[in-house]
Amino acid sequence: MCFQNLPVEFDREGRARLREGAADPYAYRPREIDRSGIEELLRRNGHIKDVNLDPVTRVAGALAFHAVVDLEQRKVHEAHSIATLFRGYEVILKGRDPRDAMYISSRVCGVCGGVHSVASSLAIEMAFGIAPPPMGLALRNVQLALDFMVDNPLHLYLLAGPDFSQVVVERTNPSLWERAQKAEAAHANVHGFRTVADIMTALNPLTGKLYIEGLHMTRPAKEAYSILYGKYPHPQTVVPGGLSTTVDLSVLNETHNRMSRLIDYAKRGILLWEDLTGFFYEADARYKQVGTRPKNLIDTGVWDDPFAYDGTYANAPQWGERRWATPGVVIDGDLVTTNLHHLNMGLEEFVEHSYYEGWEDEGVRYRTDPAGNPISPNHPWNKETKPKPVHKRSWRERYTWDTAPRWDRQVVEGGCYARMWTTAAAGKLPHTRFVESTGTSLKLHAPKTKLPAMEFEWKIPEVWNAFERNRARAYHILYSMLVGYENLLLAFDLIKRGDTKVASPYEIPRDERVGVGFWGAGRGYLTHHLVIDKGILVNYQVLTPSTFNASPRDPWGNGGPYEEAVVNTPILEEFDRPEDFTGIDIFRAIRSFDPCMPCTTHVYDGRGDRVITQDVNTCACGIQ
Amino acid sequence: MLIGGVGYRWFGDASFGLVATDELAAMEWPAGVDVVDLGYGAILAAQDIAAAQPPYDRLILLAAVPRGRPAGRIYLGRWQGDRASSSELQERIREAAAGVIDLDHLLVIAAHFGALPDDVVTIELEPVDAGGGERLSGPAAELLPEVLEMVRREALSPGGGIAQRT
Repeated sequence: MCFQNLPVEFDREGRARLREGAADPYAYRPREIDRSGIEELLRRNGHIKDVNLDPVTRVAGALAFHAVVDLEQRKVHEAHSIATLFRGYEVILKGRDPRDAMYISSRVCGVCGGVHSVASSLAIEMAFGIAPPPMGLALRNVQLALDFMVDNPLHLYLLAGPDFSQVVVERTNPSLWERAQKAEAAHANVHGFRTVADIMTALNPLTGKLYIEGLHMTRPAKEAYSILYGKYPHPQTVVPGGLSTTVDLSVLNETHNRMSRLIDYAKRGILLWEDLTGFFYEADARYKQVGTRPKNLIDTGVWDDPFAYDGTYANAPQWGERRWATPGVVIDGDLVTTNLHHLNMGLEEFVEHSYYEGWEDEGVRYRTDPAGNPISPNHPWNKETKPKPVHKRSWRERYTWDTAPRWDRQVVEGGCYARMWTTAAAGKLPHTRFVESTGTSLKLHAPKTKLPAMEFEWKIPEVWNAFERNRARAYHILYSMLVGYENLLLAFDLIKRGDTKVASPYEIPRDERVGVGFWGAGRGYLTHHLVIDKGILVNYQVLTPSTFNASPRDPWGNGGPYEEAVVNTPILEEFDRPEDFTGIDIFRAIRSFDPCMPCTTHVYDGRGDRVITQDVNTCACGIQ
Repeated sequence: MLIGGVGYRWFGDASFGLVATDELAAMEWPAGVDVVDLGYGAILAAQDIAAAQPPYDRLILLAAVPRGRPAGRIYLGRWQGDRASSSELQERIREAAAGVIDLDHLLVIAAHFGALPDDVVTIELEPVDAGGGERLSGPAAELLPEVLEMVRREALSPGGGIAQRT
């Protein structure tokens, strides 16, 4: 029984149905948010500060963060994640030809556009009743690995890495820097940095060796991507039913050369983050609390088995479990399902604290999914995007353009580590050439490249925090490269067999259909839900990892993952005067999620029919 | 010579650079002149410019850039090669890494990596309409043929077009 809160039960055959006896089974009563305690604290205590951290992502100021921090007790009392811009893609896509979705939804993100294109094509394939041939699927898998290869190193070395660099640590925690200079790095023989201080120095922005290497290593991944798919980051070769590109041996050889280099890079990166994490834990065990939150994670799984995927919703539980990353939901550290139907049934999206209107007046389009499983009126197939900007933000009422997606009404986070966790815990991985799932860990068998063959093991962590997110991300780079590599070898085999077809034909159905693309970004979970009728899109809903992670409070008053992680973060920074407080521990907590607000938001001008790119005030000062 | 458009697709006037290079790319050009869409991120674009063999001796970059000037006009400029402070450079790299497309990001980051030739000309539209959409605003659309002709003249007869008007 995977649902604890939704009114869903299963019969002996495992068929889901609504619990009997409830007149309005999905009804809920929103809880009022009481801030009187916080307001009283602020009034009475000068050392308790309203802190506005803005921008957090450094991505055009799209994510701001507000926290109430007790600088004496070194404790965060309250946190709010604020998406300052509106993402209008759901509105833009409505009424269009479904085939536009790949190209338009790709623009949701300037880094991971390709994953949105593929999520669109998966949703369309389901609605059209088609599936790509094996070569199309194998190349789609390589494409995803390369997408991750751009995203994950950029995050580790350009966005999060500077928070652990010498210039930052020396300023925020001088005693830690002193200790780092004496701390021998355990894996110096592989990565070449003798002390932890050397690693921190290499993470210095602009000048650090790791920072510069992180910049340069995006190039071979992007080159391989462009060779196979025409261009990066918005490929024009993703089509429903496969790819519109052609493939031959020289293209695969060019890709192979670059992937070998990337695998070397990934091997070294794991050991760097192992040494860095170990150092912080040993220096002060309280670092295990930075960014901690319940072990509640969600992932749809990615990388389809080219010989098992048929694109249908009916068979999603079967082809889902054949993926190189197993779908799943983890609640309190336990894997509660790996079934894509269950994952989809549990989804709801709430807007009580967001700048949107509800869609109750529209009626409920679907009571069940195509397999007859009950779904909520708040499910993405029923949700409508109805923006409603307000003049003044309020922490009690509405304060963000993000919505609150929940699974089984629980706060879950997405991340590349979530797919590692579900895959490791499930023990169902059918492809074991380079990756093995043990039930408690993922074993990575990295082949010989320039570095020798090496064995790595990512273990499901005992604690869940900012450091574990980053450490897992370093493993994820190698994991995704190994899956990409295996699929590249598969493509070589298919060419040898003369099986070079990359796409399947299709016709656009005129009747009403639904589809969902279960896919993933470098940052984690990704779904695109669509409804088509008479050959056009009548509803389109995108759920990204940042939609989950940056979400505001839900109707029951539970904060989103960023908010939870920040409230649980101790202030370990060393400072004597309040004005010297930089908020580094809070930044580490938030950045460990790899926040990407372009995925979550776009710019809205308040007139309902246009998007704008300027005049956005991201300052949280003066909010009620 | 490289002629590059910088900007986002389907963003009204903000797409001006890409709309222009789409048109220019459809024209016939002599050997040695490349016309490309550079709206894929400053880091990757700078890497590509730096890797070109033989190196480009001239860049003409087109983009819409809101700088508070009178709107609906074209502004020609020559990149002076000013180096950004390290904090500014870091912020620009971070934004570019995260997907923000911006002409100044490209210029500053490409300059940092030594990817720019000495001769870099910028053709900027001060956008009229910052709204989204698939089309340029009326004034921007009216300016487009003149800009295309300007670029073409310069590329086919170096020194006879933009350089004299800058």
